[in-house]
Amino acid sequence: MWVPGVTVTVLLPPAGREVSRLSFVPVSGPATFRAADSPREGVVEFTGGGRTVAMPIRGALPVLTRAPARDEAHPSVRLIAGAALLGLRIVAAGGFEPDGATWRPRPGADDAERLRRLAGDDEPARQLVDDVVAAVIDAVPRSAPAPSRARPVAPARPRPDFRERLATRLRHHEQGASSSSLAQLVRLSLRIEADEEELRAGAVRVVPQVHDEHDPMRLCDAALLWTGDGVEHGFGDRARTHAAIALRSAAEAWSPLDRLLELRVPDQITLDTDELVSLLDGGVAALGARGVDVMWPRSLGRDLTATAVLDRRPGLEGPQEAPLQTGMLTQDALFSFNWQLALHGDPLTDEEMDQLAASATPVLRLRGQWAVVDPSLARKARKRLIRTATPAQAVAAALSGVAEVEGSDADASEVIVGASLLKVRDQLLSAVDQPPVEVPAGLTATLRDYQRQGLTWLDQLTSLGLGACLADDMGLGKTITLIALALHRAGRDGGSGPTLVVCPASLLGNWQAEVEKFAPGVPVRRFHGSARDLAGLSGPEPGFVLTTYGTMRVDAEVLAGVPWDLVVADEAQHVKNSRSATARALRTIPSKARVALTGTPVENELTELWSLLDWATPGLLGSRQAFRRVWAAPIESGVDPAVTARFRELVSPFLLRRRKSDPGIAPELPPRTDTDHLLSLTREQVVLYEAFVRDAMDRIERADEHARRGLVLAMLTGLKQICNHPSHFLKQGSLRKSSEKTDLLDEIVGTVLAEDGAVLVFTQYVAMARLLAGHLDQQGVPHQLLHGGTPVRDREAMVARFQSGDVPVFLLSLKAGGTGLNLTQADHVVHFDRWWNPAVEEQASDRAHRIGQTRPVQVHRMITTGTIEQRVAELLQRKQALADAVLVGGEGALTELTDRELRDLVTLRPDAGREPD
Amino acid sequence: MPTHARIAPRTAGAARARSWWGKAWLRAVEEAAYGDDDLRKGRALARAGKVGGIAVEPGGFLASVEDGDAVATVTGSVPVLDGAATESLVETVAAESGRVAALLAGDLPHGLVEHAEEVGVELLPYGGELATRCTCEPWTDPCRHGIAVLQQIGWLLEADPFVLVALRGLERDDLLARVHAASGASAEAPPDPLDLDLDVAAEAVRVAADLLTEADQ
Repeated sequence: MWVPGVTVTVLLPPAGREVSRLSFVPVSGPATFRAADSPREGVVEFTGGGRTVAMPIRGALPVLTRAPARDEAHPSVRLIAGAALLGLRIVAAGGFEPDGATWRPRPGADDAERLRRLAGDDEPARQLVDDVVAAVIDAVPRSAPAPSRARPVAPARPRPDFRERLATRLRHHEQGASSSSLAQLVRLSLRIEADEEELRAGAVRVVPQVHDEHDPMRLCDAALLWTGDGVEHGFGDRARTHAAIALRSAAEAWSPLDRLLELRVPDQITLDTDELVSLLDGGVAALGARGVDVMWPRSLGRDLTATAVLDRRPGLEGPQEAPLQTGMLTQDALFSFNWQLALHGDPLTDEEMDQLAASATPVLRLRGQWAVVDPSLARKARKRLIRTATPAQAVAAALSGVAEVEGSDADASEVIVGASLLKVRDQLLSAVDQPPVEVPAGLTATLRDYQRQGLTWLDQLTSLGLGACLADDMGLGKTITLIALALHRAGRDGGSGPTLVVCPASLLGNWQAEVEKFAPGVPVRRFHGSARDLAGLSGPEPGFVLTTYGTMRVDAEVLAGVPWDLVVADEAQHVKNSRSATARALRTIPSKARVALTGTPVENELTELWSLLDWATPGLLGSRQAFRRVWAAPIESGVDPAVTARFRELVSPFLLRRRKSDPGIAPELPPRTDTDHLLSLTREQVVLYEAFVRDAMDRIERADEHARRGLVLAMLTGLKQICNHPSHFLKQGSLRKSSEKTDLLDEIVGTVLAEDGAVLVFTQYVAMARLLAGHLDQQGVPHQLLHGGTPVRDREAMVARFQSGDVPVFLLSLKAGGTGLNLTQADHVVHFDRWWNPAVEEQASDRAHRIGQTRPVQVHRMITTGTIEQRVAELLQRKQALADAVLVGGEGALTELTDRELRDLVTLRPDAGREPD
Repeated sequence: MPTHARIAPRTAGAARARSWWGKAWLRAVEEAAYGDDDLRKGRALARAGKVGGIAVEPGGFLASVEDGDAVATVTGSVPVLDGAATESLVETVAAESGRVAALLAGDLPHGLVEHAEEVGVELLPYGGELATRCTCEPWTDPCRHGIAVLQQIGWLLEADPFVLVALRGLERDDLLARVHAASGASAEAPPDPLDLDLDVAAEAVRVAADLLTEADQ
């Protein structure tokens, strides 16, 4: 959880940077090794998750040594890692020697054997392993072999072999012969010193000191190393030469040190202001890259830091401590990122930052102390405004702690949220737990607790000028909550303006009925069909305007001319594609507040979520491209779970989703029983089914890629039709004979009629629905049929008729009737055929099992055994990936199956046919 | 006598001197040559890798040169520094802490040579100081074989300026030991240059062992 006032990093936490950086290196993709002329300069290139990271071999070693333990490591990473470990073992065993300017392996016989085992007989792999081993061996020693490149093959004085001498040396180390083996290898560091007089002149001194390579705490000044003996300085007799080499290397990194090399005893040099600026500006980093640290005395106030502070723009809108006003986040509110410098963590005042900005030298007095200021910090003090931010960007940064700060320096990594913005953040985070607002007087209904909570939440967000997405399960009363919100907003001071509801055509009637029922007297009009009148909306009773997505798209310009108080997008998944004409049109309609309603889960489809939230609160998630870069790509690649967590913190205040199953949400709903009815095929169906499979599979197996897809889909459709009823498949006008499905339906309808109930029958085929309608006609059962072609007006009449109890059987095509409708009169739901997506079936069942339902609901699914209806369900359970593809893309995904899989799927199982009577 | 390995054939481009002191040496070889013809032939032999291993000792060198079917043996000499001049050279190197490091890195600082000249030590020979004798019994000195060897010595000392110092009579180890003694107050054992590598190598063994331990965790 994010705590106020705590610094949040934009990219990586400064502490433990090394570790995070290493775990950030992708190892899941193929890795390559690029050998260099000088083996130590070889580079490993890691890939994975859409990223590529190139590291020099020395830096890659900690990644490679850990890689084999990571499950996701790609085989090529494992091969390189294996070679690297082999190289390390050769070095650890002392099996290497100088050869000119390069450290080369002297592999023993077993090393060669291990090389072979690692790479097998594959020639490129062997070359790779050889190259990596050579690179590791050359890169682990801290520097190239020191003396000349032209080594005499026959030296003046014969010496023992290098390897023997190294072995002897290592034995010495092991035996801990400490007194005789004074430290030889030293690391160099530079100590900065200055007295008062020098500081006043803007100058400092650089004093080189040497550290024991093994024990950096053992150190002495270079001066003592040059002038004292071993007893005094405690280093070995070659330490001075190593120090001179290190000094030369440091001078290559930062040239003012050349002056130290010119001294007989390199004790110290004085830097003038220019040199000090150069040291601060790039020298420290260049030296650091060579392992030379620069140490500053604490008295010089080096603990000066810069953080980006995000808050309302100072000085533009009166005192910053003004109480939080309603609508403080309206579009004209201004926020900005500003640099704030701090000394030992205490923020500097504006005057102090001005003084710092104006100083001609990096050395100045600050709060009674001397301070050495990095030129980059001085630049930040000079130009403190980083950039302005919109309210949505500011809120996003406050919630996630992430902001893209594009300052002049890449190290601008910390954002602090200012006081007034923190209040907004707290208000947002606690919006859902606020004491519930009064139910508006005009609402003639009792809101359930969770609905009142939803109303309160919507009120909090919209009054801040932010949008919201209410994603409660269907049937939890989103419509009535929205009506309450509109009434509540209208009842406030200055809260005037009409409410626009954009919804699918099938829901217009539902909205109108609910507004008339729950907010009697509030004007509600349709902006649809021939009725497109927007006159009189600015009156004292603005009320509701209902329109469809289609009409809104065509007439967006007209609608944009109305000063809406609230725009509601119902079934907002219709605008999940932000590039569609409908979504673009919706964006052009301004309003004080925007609310998206949806009953389908959106939080896992990042791009769709972006579309909804970017409409509701424009700019919250940044541009589409920025969103992909900052959030979607890292989350989808799954590299850093922290990113996912930060994203949840960012979006969760704007999303409210309650499920029916949540405790306390809808306890009043009566129980629902689901039954899978396993039915057999008639003999006629079996014959048809087998003949059709034979014929269709023949053609599919002979078809080319292009034609195949169509043939497969046609076969699937045909088989499902046969399972429903032979007459469906044979395109006959009426049901002749019966199938087990129609028998069962008759049975259910009989029960319904006997119990004075009502039933919804869903099929995905309008033709089947028509056949059933004819069948019911013959039996004299009142019924009605709703499908995609039913005009809006007729739909509403049908829903009203059904809800009033006049028609006991309602046939619906799944696509037309599956969402939005309120059909609580039904206590039975029949799924006549299978739709592979359980969520779609679930939504259809929820037409009946929703608020307002008083009786237990029975859901019947008809499944013919041994047929594709049963087999696909099994297949989807077995193959999760395919199931996901089907959920997203529908049956089309099944066309990707191989011929064999397909045949296996459709072939009728022996238990399918009806036993001979 | 330290002997340098036979040098593989080089292209004309690779045979050209790059460092300022390498150029100075090759200019001296040009001065020493009698005519362009010898110079051209000598250089061709050097580039073709016809010179065997070159033994360098204080004040002189020895190498054989293949020329067609014949093999010629060249001996040569460079005047060595006398005791006082040697002292001055040691003192000059010790005067700046960066000079030993530069020599170890294969660099001959211009300042070092200029500083030495100021105290009367001529490190780089002029043409007349390069004398050779050859078993081909030439009319001219140096003959093309001598030039070939001198040319290759130029390559050697370009890569390692200690070769030049050695020709002047002061071997690398002696120079380092005397510089070490001269630059500090202590009289310690002379550093063996190969020990510098040994220090780096021993440290590497330790680092590799640490990395392997980490990998096992």
